[in-house]
Parts: sequence; structure tokens; C-alpha cells
Amino acid sequence: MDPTNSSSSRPPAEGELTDPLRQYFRSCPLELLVAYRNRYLGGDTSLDGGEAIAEAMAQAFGHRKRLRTILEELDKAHHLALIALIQSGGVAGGTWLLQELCLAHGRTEDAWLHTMHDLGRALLVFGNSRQAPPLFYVMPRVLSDQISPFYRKRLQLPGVQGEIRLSKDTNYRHPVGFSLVSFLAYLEQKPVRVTQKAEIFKKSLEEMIGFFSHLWGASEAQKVFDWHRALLEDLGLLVVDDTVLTTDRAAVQDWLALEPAVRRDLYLDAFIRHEPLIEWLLNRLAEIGQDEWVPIKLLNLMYRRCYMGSVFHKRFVRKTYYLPPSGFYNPNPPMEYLQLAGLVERGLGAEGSYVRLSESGRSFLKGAPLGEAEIAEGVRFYVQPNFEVMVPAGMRLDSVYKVGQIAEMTAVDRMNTYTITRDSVRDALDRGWRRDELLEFLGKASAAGLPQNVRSTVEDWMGDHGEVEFHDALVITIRSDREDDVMDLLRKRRSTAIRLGPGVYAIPREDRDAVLRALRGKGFEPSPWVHRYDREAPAGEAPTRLQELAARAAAGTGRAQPELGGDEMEYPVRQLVVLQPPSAETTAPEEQQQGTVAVNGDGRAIASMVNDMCRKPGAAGSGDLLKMSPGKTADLLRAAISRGHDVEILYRTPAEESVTGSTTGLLRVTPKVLREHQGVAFVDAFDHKRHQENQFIIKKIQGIRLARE
Amino acid sequence: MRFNPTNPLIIQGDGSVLVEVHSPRYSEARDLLARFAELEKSPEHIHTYRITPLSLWNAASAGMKFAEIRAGLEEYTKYDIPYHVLVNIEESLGRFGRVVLLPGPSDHLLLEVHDRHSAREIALNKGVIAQTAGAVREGLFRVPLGNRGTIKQALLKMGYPVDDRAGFVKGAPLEVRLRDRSVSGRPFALRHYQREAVTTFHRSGGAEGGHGVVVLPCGAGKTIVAMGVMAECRTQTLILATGISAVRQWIREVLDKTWLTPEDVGEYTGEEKQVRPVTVTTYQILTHRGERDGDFTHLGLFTAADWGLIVYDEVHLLPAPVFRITADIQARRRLGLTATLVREDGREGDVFTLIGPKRYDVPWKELEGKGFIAEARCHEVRIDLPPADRMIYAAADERAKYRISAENPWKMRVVAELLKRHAEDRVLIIGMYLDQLQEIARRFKAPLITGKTPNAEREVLFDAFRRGEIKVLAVSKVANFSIDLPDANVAIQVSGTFGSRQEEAQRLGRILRPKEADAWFYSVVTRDSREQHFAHNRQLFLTEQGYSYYIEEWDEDRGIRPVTASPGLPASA
Repeated sequence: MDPTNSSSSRPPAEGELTDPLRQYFRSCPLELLVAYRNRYLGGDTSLDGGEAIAEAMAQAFGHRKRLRTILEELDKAHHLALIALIQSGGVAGGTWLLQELCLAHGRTEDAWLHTMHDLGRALLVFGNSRQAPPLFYVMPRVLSDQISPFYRKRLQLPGVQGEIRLSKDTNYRHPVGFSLVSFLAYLEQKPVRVTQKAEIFKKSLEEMIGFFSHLWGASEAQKVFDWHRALLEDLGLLVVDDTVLTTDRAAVQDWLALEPAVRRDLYLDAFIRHEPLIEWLLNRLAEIGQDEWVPIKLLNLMYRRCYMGSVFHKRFVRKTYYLPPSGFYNPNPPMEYLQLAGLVERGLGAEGSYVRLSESGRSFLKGAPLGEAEIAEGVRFYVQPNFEVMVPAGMRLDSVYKVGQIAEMTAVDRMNTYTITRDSVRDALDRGWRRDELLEFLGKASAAGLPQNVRSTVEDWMGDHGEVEFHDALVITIRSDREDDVMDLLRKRRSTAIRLGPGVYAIPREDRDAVLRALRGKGFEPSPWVHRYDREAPAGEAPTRLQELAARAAAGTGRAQPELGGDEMEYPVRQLVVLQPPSAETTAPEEQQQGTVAVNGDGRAIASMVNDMCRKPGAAGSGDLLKMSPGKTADLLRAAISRGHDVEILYRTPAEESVTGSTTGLLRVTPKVLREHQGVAFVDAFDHKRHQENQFIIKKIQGIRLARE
Repeated sequence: MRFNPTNPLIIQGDGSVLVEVHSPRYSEARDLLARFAELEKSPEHIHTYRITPLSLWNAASAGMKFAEIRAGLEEYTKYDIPYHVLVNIEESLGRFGRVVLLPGPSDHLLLEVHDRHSAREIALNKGVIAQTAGAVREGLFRVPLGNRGTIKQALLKMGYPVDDRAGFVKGAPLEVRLRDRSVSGRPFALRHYQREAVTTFHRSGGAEGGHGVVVLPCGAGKTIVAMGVMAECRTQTLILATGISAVRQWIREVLDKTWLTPEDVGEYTGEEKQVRPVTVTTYQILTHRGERDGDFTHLGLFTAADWGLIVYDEVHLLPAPVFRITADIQARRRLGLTATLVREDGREGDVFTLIGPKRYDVPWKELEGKGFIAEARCHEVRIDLPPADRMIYAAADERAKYRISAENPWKMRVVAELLKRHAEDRVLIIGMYLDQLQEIARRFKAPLITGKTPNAEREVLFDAFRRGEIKVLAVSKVANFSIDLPDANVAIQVSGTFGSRQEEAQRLGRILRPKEADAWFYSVVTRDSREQHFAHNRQLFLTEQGYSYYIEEWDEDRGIRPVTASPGLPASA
């Protein structure tokens, strides 16, 4: 679920969404339905059956005006809290949400706790446990979907115009596609040595960064370098071969030959692997007008809620409440990563920093591969009479790459400089360039042809190289009486087919599937099998990383889902708990008690004990495993002993090795007695994993919670 | 990234600027760049300029402002301008004019620093302070007259170019008038660009002018610009040239195109020691020492008369001792002449400080287009080594290999064919090895000039060549510098030193004087040899200078023929 991009951008019309609503209310337990009836249907006791109440409630919440009236009864704080929860995808850690609301809108956590409790009483927000705040605040998706349209404007990023200028020091102005290919060409020409940890040796790194610094900008060249390397490695185009970082030439060629849309998907896939919410972020920015900016503060807020919402959602669904160490999650939008990709740009205005999609970013979202917005029709390289090849940014990337195979790269900048040397020409021939092909490429693909002196000299350099050559192509054979038909077909399709002899043609390997389809479409019945002439037919070559990624991208798997909600069944209504009053000591008024319905059977017994330990909500962490002082841990253990409850503890040995052996890192124990020996407090408890009684030093208990029955 | 494919400029992160020659906006962009950037190389399609502090100070001294440069670059750039390049330009430009040298009350000059921070920085620099006679107040220093050059050098080292407005001595008066018709009978007047150069340099005699460098390509008439300046300054003049032949050529030109008489113009060389109102001398004689570590014998020439103007020919070749003495004569007007500001020794800063900033520059392609200098076509004729020499070549050491390939006997047959091709032209055959040149002279009945040829005999042969009595002249490397053979339009290079770019430029310069026929420059090179390796460097240099370069080949059966279709061959080919 993407709360800020709900398909319903307007309030629901009459009768809309009533089926999901009906389904939701029908799934509610009777006590909850009664509470809904008392709250919203005037306590109409004529509606006494679950089915009748559910139907009436679905009608009420499905009715736009009635829903508006319900929402209008809420105050500003309630609206802010609802918006925050919707932005979080409907699930948020209890303490986290309170802190988030404090951070964004001021007021104290206690005040927000009361606000949330009000929303709980309004039966719009629930918890998953009986403490206050609960481990998680939850807003059923159907309610969220129904309410979101009323907050449509506030759920979107606002576009701002005015005196905002592009920030010069935080924007990377290099042409990204051109830069990536230049980077590959550099590594092909000068593979760099790496350590066993695949780190580039300092000298080589400095040399490399220095080489690219004119293009990347000297001050941030290291960051740009890291980004390039990470992305290209992720795409499988860079490989560490023994102790050398170099390119996978076959993969690079495949990559450049891919359809632009596939190449774009590969990039997006890589970005999403880096940060799952990138697509969400880009889409939000794309909703802003072309000349508008988004205040970075608001973007940070929205991203943070979305990000943490997705984290809480996963943990809620998986019931893993243990919170990793602080810093494990980074709820800041990956702006620098996107800036390095050239997709977004930052601006500075009187009121702070702003951000927007760059032209490249807009093209990327429209389906163009990364950096392809920089490519202009008709931009070509020049071969100069002094053997320099001048390659401008804006040229087709495959041509940029090809020049790098033929000539030695001497400078990288907005216009790269290469020099054709004897060695570079011989290297190109060794890499499979054919004599004629090489001369033809330099002559025809360049803007002003191949100068006569360069052609003559290159021919001299090539010498007799290439008298015998190996070719990599797919050979097709055609029965003589069908030869003309097949060739007509291929010509119409503008397929490349070179005649090698009567009925024997060479076609590019990558055209095989297309040719096969075309032939079948015209009634031919070619076998899809390729006759191989290897001495021993290979069992099947291992696919390259790129092939794997391309297959995944095509299948749409592999990509992390930024969906936040998931299936309704992931948090069934029966697991939800009506929110508890902010403090156990607070005597709830009659009306409030009426609304406090224990949905799960064991909740009430636990509640008072949990309330004991949750007088200070912050102590409970982010609605997870509780991290408490040894004193409070001891108090909880005492309470558990007195009530005969089991607890789950996170317990580590002095060597920091987990003794639990459990995948969640938790150990279920039945505490028996608290004791002290030579100043060390410990608890005797029955260890359910080892089926024996053990002693646990209290100060080494790193997390504790009541075990579910 | 902004991208405007139709614009011609590509401003690189390293401060170089590439210009697409084929862009419709090329000419405008080139004219803009020429004002604040140095042309580094100009091969056919993309020219490279470089923006350096010196080039910017040259521009600043001509009154150019940052806003104008920025607007110009933005107007013509293809991509975004790298931010740091703009910052550097602004910073460098801002330094010019921050330190000004002004006339002082008596025997001192005043150095004024217009920026408090810079004044403090300068006050803390021992090298600079040592050249002053104390401070008048913060930011104002007294400078002894004799330290005018050295303090400018010291400040340039700190990154502060000095705007020298201290003025010049007038020098002893001398009326120099240009003729309307030269002594040789040809109509004579300054061309428009020569007049512009004179005006820009002289600046009506104000202190902001009167010193600096005029950059013009070979054959564009730098000598004539100097005469124009002499006519404006009306003062006795000392002219420094590269060699004795050049000295005599200067004298000939001055006498031919001004109303000065032979009594007014003197030669101060190893052969003559005349000090006259206009004296022409060589760098060699000025840097001559009696003993290895002794004093320079002839430096007194600088003070032998009250020179009001000193002309430095080929300023990119100015030797270090002349820089030193130039530092002491900063009160005299100084005109530098050159085809390139780039020095092999990297002392461009000294040229800027001691001679002065670039005052005028005009692209040679523009002059070539207007017919002011000849269009040169460079051809390399590749030949095989005769079978008999191949084994000797294979067994020889690297140095011997070069000589074997340079003296390839088949080159004689190529020269014969080329002479046949250019039967109506004036041909110089240039070589490095005397045996080879003597063989050429004998075989083609061409007079030979080498280092051993007495000057008088050289002059006779050059005169005969100029008059057309001799059509082919064989010369060794003595002819590399400043021989004016206006009618030579073909050069055949049969051997040369190891890929020297300087030599190549000078040899080509011999045939660039304006004339009706195009200029042809041939190099005969042995294929697949050490010579071809070095010839490749020369090829790179010439193409970087913007000359067209064609490869031809020769074999016994078919003679010379283009490797592939070679445009522009003469009709006889």
C-alpha cells in the first residue's frame, strides 16, 4: 500500500469501497462491533446481530458525508496523528510514532499518547498489545484507504516555486551514462590491482580518481568513484578477477546491446537493491511540476515515515519485535545516491534546501536508461589528423565504448580524448575487431571521417594482422528452394544476415529469438535447437550476473516491493487490541471503559503487569523487546514469578556469544526465584530450550518480554 | 547536465577549452577565446585552447572583465561550465590590477597594492620586500628604479601580476617614416592587422602601452609590425634577432621599407660591430663570454646608446641572460615578436613580466584564408628500404638504424620524382647528413649551403634563389632559422633530427611567406623503420598546428602515389 499515492485521489463516492468495508466489519469480533455501534450508530440496540451492525457500519463509513462528519469531530492533533500513521503505511512502532509526532509537530509524548488513545477510542487506530503505548499502532488498511482521500493534499509533497537556485557544490554535473562507460573503458585499458578484500590499492585509486576528477569534480571524486564501482559491480559489469578489478567484456557488450527499457529496469533494480524505497521516492518527486522544488525537510519527513512504516510492517507481520542497535536503520532519503546518479538535483532558497528531479531523472522515470537523457541525436566523435579521437558526452554509449576498445584513453572530461596508437590498434584486433570493421567504424561513425594520414598509418600498423580471423555468429542453413523466401523475410525485418555460401548465412547471436519468431510467424518450422560443434557439448554455461539480472528484471522478481501494507490477513483484526488508557493509574471514565474491549483473550491479565513496566513509555523501546535497567528487569521478573508467567529473554555469555541458539535470539524461560550472590543478582529459571534449570545474571539480560501463552 | 549540441565550445574541467571547427558559430567563439586563452593545438576538427593565469592577465591588461568572459563562455558552451573553472577565472582575473607600479617622486617608483589582505601577504614576503626601499604606508612601497624588473618577477612568483604604469624613458629621438613604395619598387603599406597590432601596442604612447608581445604566424609580417612601432615611437631602436642571417634580413627590410639610410642602421654581430640609431644584433653575441664563467662581453650594447625601444624577435627563444639584462632596462619600451608564446623552457612568466603582456594575436588560419600567408600542404612519402640494406638495418643498433633509414638510397629517386612534379617551383631540399646532401647536390646540380659555407657565399646563393636564377637549393640545418626566401614554395625534407618539433616548425616556416602558389612540404620517410617512428612525432606536431597531412608511398614500379585518394595533389601529380 502506498498511502500517499492512493488510487483514490478524491473522497470516495457513495457506495464506493463498501465491499471491503463490509468485509472488514464482518471480520470484527462482536464486542468490537458493539463498540462501533455505540460510537457511530447512536447505540442503536435494534442492530443486535453482528451481520446487521457490520452492514450498518459499512454504510456509515462508506458514506462520504458521514465520514467527513466523523473526521470533522477530530481536532488538529488527531488529524496530524492520523496522517502520520497513514504515511507510515498504517503500522508504526508505538514509541516511535509518539517520538515522530513530537519531532514533527511539537507537544510532549504524553500529549500524543492521549491523542492516540482518543483515536483508539474512536476505533480508527488499534494496538497490538495492551501496554500504552502498544508495541505497534495499527490502522486497518480499509480504514486508511477510506480516510486517506480526505487528506489528499497533505499526503502529497508540496511543489514550491520562487527564488531557488541550483546548489553548485552538492550537485554532480557529470553526464552519468557517459561517465559509466568511460569508467568501464578505463578499467579495460588499465585493470587495477585489488587487495584480498577487493579494495583498490591506494596508489591506483588515487591515480584513477585523479584521472576522472576533471569530469567528476575534484572535491567529491571519491564519492562518485564509489558510486560508479558499486553500481557497475551490482550490474555484473565489473568483476574481480583474481587480484585485478576489470570488466566482464561479454557482459558489457550484452549490456550495451540490451533494449533501452531493459537497461533502465536493470538500473532501477540495482537502485532498489541499494534502497528499496527509491522508486517510491522518485515517484513522489515526479508528482511535482517540472519547475517546482520540494522542501527537503518535508521530503525527509515523508520518507522517514514511509521508511519506518515499511520496517514496522515487516516486523509486525513477522512478529520479530527485537529492535536492532541504533543506527541499523537509516530513515533518511538516499538523496546523495540519487544525486550521484544524476536523477535529482538540490537547490538553495531563502528558507533552506530544496530538491527536485533532474531532467535525467524525469527521463529515467519515463523509461529512458540512466544518463540517456544526455544523448543527443547526431552527436559523433572526431578523429583528428594528429591521431586523437575526441569523444563528446552526448554520444551513443555503445560508440563511446567502441572507441575505448580501439584507442588509448588519455583524458576524461566533457569531451574525452583518446589516442590511436600502434598498440591500441593491435589490442583492438586481438580483442576481435576485424580490419575492415575497425576502419569502417572510425570512418563512418565519426563526424568528419577518417583523415587520410590516420587511415594510412593505421593500415600500416595493422600489417598482416587479421589474415585469419575467428568469427562469432550464429549460422543458419536454409534449404535451397526456401532460401529466397527466408531472405525476403529477413530483409523485411531489416535483420543482419551475411551470406557465407549457398544456403548458409551468418546472423548475430542475439537475433536468434527474433528470427525464430519471425520464421514461425511465416509458417516455417525451424527447430529451436542450435547445432553445436563443441568437442563436448557444454552442459550449459553459467549465466553471467547481467543475464541473471536481466531475467529477473524481465520477470519483475528481484525487485524489492515498496508496498507497505500487504495482505489484510497479515494483521487480522482479531489480533488487534483496543488502545489502553495512557497510564494504568488513570481511572478510565465509564465511557472509556466501555470502549476498551479486549480482543484477544489473554490480554487483560497481561495488561496490568505490562502497565507496571510501561509507566514511562520511552523505556519500552520502539514497541519491541524491552531493554531495561537491571532493577526494572528484576521487577518484571518478580511480577512474572508472582503471576506464573513465562518470559522471553535475550541473554548473552560474557564472550557475547548468544546462548539461545534460537533464530530470533530469544530464550523462553520460566522464572522461579531471584537471588543475589556476592553482589551479583541472578534469576533461577527453567530454560525451555534445554529443558533444564539455569541461572541467568540479570544485568546480562539484554531484552525481556512476557511470553505469549 | 545542460547540453546544447549546436554550440562549439567544450569547457573542460582542467581549464582547457575545445572548439569544434565545423560549428557554424566557430568564428565568433574563436574570436572570443583568442582574447583570454592560448591556442595550444589546432588539428583539423577540434582546436584546443587553454585558460591560464597568464592568458587571463594578458586579457585583463587589455581591459577584459570577468563578466564578459563568463557571458562569452556561457553563450557558446555546449555543456555546463565546470563551476571551479569559473571560480579560477574570476580569481585569476581579480589578481590583475591589484598591484600597480607607478612613477615615484624622484629616484623611486611606487608599488601600490589595492587590497589589504594582499598588501599584508606581500609585506611578509622576504623576496619582494628585499626589492623595495621600505613602505610609505600599508599597501604602498618604494621601489628603487633598478629593481623594476626583479620586483615584478618576485611578485609574479607570488601570483600577483604587476600592472606596470611607471612609464618609459623617451630615448634619443629618431625620425622613422615608412615608405609608400619599397626601395625594391613594390607598393607598401601596413595591412589592417599589422596596423591594429601597432596601435594596440603603442596606445598613443601612454604608460599602459609601450611594452608587450605581438603574436603573428610565420610570414605574417612581424618585421613590418616592428617598423610600424618604430615609426610611432620615433626613437633609437635596438633589435635582437636569432642569427646573423636574420640580422641582415632585418637590415634589408628596414632599409627597403623605411626612409632610414644605411648610415642609420648598424649590424652588431661577430663580423661587424656597428652601433647606430637602429642597431640589429643577435642573441648569440649578447650572450657571448670570453671564458666559460666570465662576464658577458657585449652586454654593454644595451647601454651603448639611449635606446627608446628594444625589439625582441622570436621572443620564445629569448635566452636566460637576456632576460636578466632585460630586467635592468625596464624603463625602455619593449616589443616582443613571436609566432607562439609557448616556450620549451616554460619561462612564459618571464616573458609576461619582463617583456610585457600579449598585446595582439591573430589566428593564422584567418590570415591563410585571406591569402596573407601561404597555405601549406604537408606530404609524407613512405618508401621501403632497398632489400640489400634490410639485413644491415636489422643488425644495426638503434642509433645506426636511424641513420640507415634516413640515408635510404631510394630517397634520391623520390626526390627526382618530386623535382619533376614541381619543375616550375622553387624548391629547398633540407637534410641533416652532409653525405646525403652532397649526393643530392651532385645528382641534381643544386647548390649546397651548410654550416661551413661562408656567409658571403650564402648571401650570394640566397640572392640567386630569390631572383629565380637557382630553382633548387640544398640546405643543411643552418637554414632552419630566419632565412627569408620569399619565393620558395616547396620544401623536401630528406632527413631531420630526432623528431624535433621546433625544427619542423622552422623548416615549414621557410615556405610560408605569401606567394601566389601554394606551399608544399614533403618528408621522405623509410617505412617500418626508426625514422618512421620519429616521423610520426613530426606528423603529430604538424597536424596539431593545423596543417593538412597526406601520406603517399613510393615503389620502384609505380613511383609516388597516394595510399588512398589524396585530395589536393598538384596537377602534375
